[in-house]
Amino acid sequence: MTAAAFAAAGAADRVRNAVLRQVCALRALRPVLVDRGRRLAAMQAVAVLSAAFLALRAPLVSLWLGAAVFGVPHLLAGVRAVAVRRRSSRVALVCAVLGLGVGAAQIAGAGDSALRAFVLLFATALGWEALTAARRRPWAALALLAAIVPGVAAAWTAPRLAVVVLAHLHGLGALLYFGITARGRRLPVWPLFAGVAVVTVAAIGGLLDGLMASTLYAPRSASGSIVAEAITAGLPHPTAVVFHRALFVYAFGQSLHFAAWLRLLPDVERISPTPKTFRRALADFRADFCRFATPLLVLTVAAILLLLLGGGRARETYFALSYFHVGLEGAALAGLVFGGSTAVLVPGAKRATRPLPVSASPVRVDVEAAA
Amino acid sequence: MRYPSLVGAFFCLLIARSASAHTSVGGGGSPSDPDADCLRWEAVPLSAADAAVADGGVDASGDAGDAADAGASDAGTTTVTLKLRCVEHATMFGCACALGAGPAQPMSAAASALVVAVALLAAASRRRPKRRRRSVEVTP
Repeated sequence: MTAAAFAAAGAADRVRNAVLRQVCALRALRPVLVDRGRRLAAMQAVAVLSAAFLALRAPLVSLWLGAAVFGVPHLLAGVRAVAVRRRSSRVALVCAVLGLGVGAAQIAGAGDSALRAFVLLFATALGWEALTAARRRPWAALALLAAIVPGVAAAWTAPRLAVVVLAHLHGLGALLYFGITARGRRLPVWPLFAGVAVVTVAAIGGLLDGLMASTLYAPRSASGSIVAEAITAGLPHPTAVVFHRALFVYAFGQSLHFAAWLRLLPDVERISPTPKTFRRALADFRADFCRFATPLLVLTVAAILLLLLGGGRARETYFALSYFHVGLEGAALAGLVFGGSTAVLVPGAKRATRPLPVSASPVRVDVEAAA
Repeated sequence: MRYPSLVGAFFCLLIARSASAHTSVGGGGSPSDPDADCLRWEAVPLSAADAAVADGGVDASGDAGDAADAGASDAGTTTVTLKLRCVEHATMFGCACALGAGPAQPMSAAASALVVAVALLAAASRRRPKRRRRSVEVTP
């Protein structure tokens, strides 16, 4: 199984090397590929543009493909970033495990009670981060606690609306987590944040109304689940304008949060200034997850197939079992905001290793590996 | 616990077994519901005739069948009867051949097979000799 995975990664590396060699032949594009900062900036621009295009023209398809293709991988990437390569608090980890149980209860039909339990778990994880940081940042901790208490009270009375708000905050939190980490390494984040601000303001202000699709396509197999998710994006009984704008913002944010965990953050946190080969990335994945690596890879591939082909039932199962990561990542973000270290645990690295480069240096990408 | 992955597998199997409830916060209808793909609902006032029919259905005296009186209250104020109507549908593509579209058995079987395979892989990999993991913090 592992050998097959490495063989597949090797084949993918050869294809990528061939593509990179062709692209690097173009003098104008070469700096974008060989300079870490420019490469990251270009990826942010591509992420914003592609997310905006999909959310404008096919928001329901964007929600469908996003959860199906990137859902489980982004869960793994998130857990890896905040709990494997960094140290999450025990409280956050316990809340995450309990969140899995609550997700199971929700599948069994717990309804709004499960949503309230999720809110309590998220609040506990966040509150613990505030309490532990109270000595270092008393005012910030107090502000967070002051926001949590009325937030929990409001969520308790309107749990469904709270989940919608949490979904938006979760997407925004992923971008903030990436932004803080990237700025800690003096890497550019302005294309992402400027793009998000411009696109969001333009959409809410109505400048993009003419570009939004009037016919919303959805796959028949998972239509019930996708329609239900789309309905929650806006207010109850919205007008056509409000519904389409809210759906755009929701789909746009969801796409970008997948990009943050799967594409942008890994590029910030790698040690070498050059991109990793797929074989190297697979080896790092094995080093991080140890004996769970192969089962997780199998689970990921199978989950993608199930989510693409399994219809609404598979989607609902995925959502219920993935709520746990909202609190885990929220607590990690709070830890970063409260002055936590952006350092990462790199398995197998020697203590005398070269520190992560904080600024971009012109380097040659690994296309020569195949030469 | 010696076999956590197997315990996790049974936990997941129980979930797959009961994964029939709709868990999204948005609700959603059954496949037979013609408005199951409805994206947007609007409250529209019922016409006088419609309101009369609606009244007639609930008023056992039969007097409510008079359309002229429909919607008028005794106090002289007008009571508007509202009805939710779907004003925007999603357009479907592809087939309804998903595992989840039919009875629960195919989906549960697929999920069960997946979970068992993952659990066996995890259990098998546990027998290999452990290598000590060395991690070191790398700071910018």
